[in-house]
Amino acid sequence: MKVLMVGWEFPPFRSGGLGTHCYHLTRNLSALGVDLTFLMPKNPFKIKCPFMKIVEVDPALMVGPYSFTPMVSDNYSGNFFDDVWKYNNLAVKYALKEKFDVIHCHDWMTTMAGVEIKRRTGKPLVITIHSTEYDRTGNLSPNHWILEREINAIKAADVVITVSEMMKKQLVERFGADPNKVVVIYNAIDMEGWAIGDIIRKHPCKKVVLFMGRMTIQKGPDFFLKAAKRVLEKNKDVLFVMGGKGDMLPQLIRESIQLGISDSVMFLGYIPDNELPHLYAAADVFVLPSVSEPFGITVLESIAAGTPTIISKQSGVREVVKNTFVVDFWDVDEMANKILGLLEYPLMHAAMKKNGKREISQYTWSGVARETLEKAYKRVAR
Amino acid sequence: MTSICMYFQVHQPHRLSKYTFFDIGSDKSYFNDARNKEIFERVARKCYYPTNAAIKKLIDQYNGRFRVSYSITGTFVEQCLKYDPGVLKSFQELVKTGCVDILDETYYHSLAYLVGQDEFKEQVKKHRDMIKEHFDYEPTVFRNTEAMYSNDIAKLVESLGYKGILAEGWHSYLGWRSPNYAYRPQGCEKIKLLMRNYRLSDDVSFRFSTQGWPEYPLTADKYARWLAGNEGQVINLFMDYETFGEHQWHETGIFQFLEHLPGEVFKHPHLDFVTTKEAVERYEPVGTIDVPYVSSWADVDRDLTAWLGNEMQRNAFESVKRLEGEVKTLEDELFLDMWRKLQTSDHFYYMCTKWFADGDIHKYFNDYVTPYDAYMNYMNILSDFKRRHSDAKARGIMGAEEKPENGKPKRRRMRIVKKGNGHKA
Repeated sequence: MKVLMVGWEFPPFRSGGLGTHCYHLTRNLSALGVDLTFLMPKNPFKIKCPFMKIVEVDPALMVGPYSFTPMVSDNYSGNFFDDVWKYNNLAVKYALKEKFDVIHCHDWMTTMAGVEIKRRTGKPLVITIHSTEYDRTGNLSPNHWILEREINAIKAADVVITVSEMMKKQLVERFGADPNKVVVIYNAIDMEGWAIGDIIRKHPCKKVVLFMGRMTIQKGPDFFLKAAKRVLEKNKDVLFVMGGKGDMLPQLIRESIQLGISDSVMFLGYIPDNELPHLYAAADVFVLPSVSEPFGITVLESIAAGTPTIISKQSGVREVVKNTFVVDFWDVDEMANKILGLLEYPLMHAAMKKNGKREISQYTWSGVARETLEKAYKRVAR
Repeated sequence: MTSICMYFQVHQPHRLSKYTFFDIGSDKSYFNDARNKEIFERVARKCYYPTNAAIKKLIDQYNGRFRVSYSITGTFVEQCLKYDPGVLKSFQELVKTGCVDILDETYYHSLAYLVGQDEFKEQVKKHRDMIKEHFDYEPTVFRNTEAMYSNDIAKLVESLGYKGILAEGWHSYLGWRSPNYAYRPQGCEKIKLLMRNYRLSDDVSFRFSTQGWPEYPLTADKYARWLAGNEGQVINLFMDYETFGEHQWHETGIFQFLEHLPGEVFKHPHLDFVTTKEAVERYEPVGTIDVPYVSSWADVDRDLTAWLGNEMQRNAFESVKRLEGEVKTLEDELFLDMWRKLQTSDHFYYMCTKWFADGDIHKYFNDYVTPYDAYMNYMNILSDFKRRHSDAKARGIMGAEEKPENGKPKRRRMRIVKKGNGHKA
């Protein structure tokens, strides 16, 4: 089985969960004997990968007969759209020289190439939808051009992999996907990578509640702040730590000041990979207040690091994690109630920690790779 | 002659209100009246009324040869009085036929035995008084909450004057022996033990509508043949009353099954029906049963783990248990009643994590999304209860400005039951 995977990021070059996902997926697929070629944009890191061939294509070199005309949107920078376009064109150009059985793409940044490669080569197309434009914009102001790309890709794909039943429902209801070709494969966790042993550094006197994610409307960081305000009314000795960056950051800092809780809120900005396990482990409670979260892999990471979680009802991860608290993202009183409960009742904290770890350990990346091979590649390969 | 002894557990807990951290310190009621009413009325419509009518009809139809037994909790009767006295009346009419036995248990369907012997005796006495008041009946057979049973429980119940006690007929202490006989509890001299035939009981209460079950559909004539094929003195079919119409919906045919069962049973001349009281009077023990630890009728484990299996459950129970001295020194009926309502076994059942991941039978009876929600809610209430209690104590009055659920302020002194002053049945 030879697979051409059109990627967008790969560790250490990444900005979100997609890179992590592709790393674990490809590593475990190649362990199953799948022969992979991984395309990605040219980047400053010299990525060495022992288990597959990585091809970095350089958008700057883009000239020639395969170029499309990019349509620039208002909401994204012209440069970003340009880069996506150029990258997709180059990926197509490269693909036409290669031999493979299946094309596999991830999200709209790479599916344009996938659709085009399928059109020209007739090879089957598998796409993984990690999130849609509705998710990323919190359902508020989706970019219609991107939506159209997503609709086209879903229509053209032979198999659509997505990360939760909630997402499958969305793809069927809002994108008109044929339910028979949508396959749910949950994300997974590499437990060992998150266990940091005895070197947990706890705050000396305060309990720590953690938010970890992009500071964007999708992730609901503003609800986290409002819940923090409610918690602090009952318990002053709590520190609210917010990791991640994003366009809402200035607004959030302002809001923490207006709420009068800036002394108890800490903005950490970007967290490097190697520090993440320590941050999770240092926290007492992890909150995922997402407005719309296709999966929510940070929840698995937090549980693996031994920190109980509170997650929004609008997250796919609730389908696999039962040992958690589930709240509506807008219900900040209930969010605060659950935070206080986890801080107040150590036995409950311990039980959720223990049961949660046991529960998620069944979701392994080798399982994801096996399912991808069986339910997607083998189903469409000719 | 082999007798069939059908016994039904009739219970509704006072379910708790959603009680958040922010509610602690408020005067919000601990008990969710609206929810309790809703569930009570639903079960009354689906189960209590139609099943009572069916049983009454069968008793009349067979001139008293069809006989059944009930254990009716105090919390259930309270809800009857509050939400629909007609339900209580229909039970009273059944008792008046003389073909019905009522058993005693703890008034609050509680884990009182594990709180302490005094508390247990007081709750049993309260139940006994309630049965006397509403049914003019004096039970002689006892069943502990969730069929919790051990040698020590049997001894204690015997000392209260009961002639019989029920337990699960579980193989770990029955061994090769059949549950279809009366036994003597280890260390007891008079009291007799009736053991649930769990296979035949569960065929009705759990498997009746299970389409994957090879015996599906279960018909009355087939079931009567199974009963007729069993050897022994008495086949004990013990189940929740809600089996009829609530756990097994009307559409499953459970009522037709019930209506035809006596007729099919009477086709076998060696079978008859007895109440628990009659079974205990009629049959002599054939052997001794030794249950050194506390068993129950729940789950595959038949032990206490459904209520006290994880640390949260044990912690919640220990926390409520620890308040005994404090609550009793206050000598206030309302505080005592609230405290006892918090001992009802259902509250701890909701915190069970055993089958949580599989979402099993526990889920069905449960308003909480997770056991953690149940624990936290309970602990928040307990925390507020402690606050109200110490407020009341600090005010130096024997009773707080707590309103009972019927809205009328009432301040009654509790009757103190002295140590060792156990009643006799």
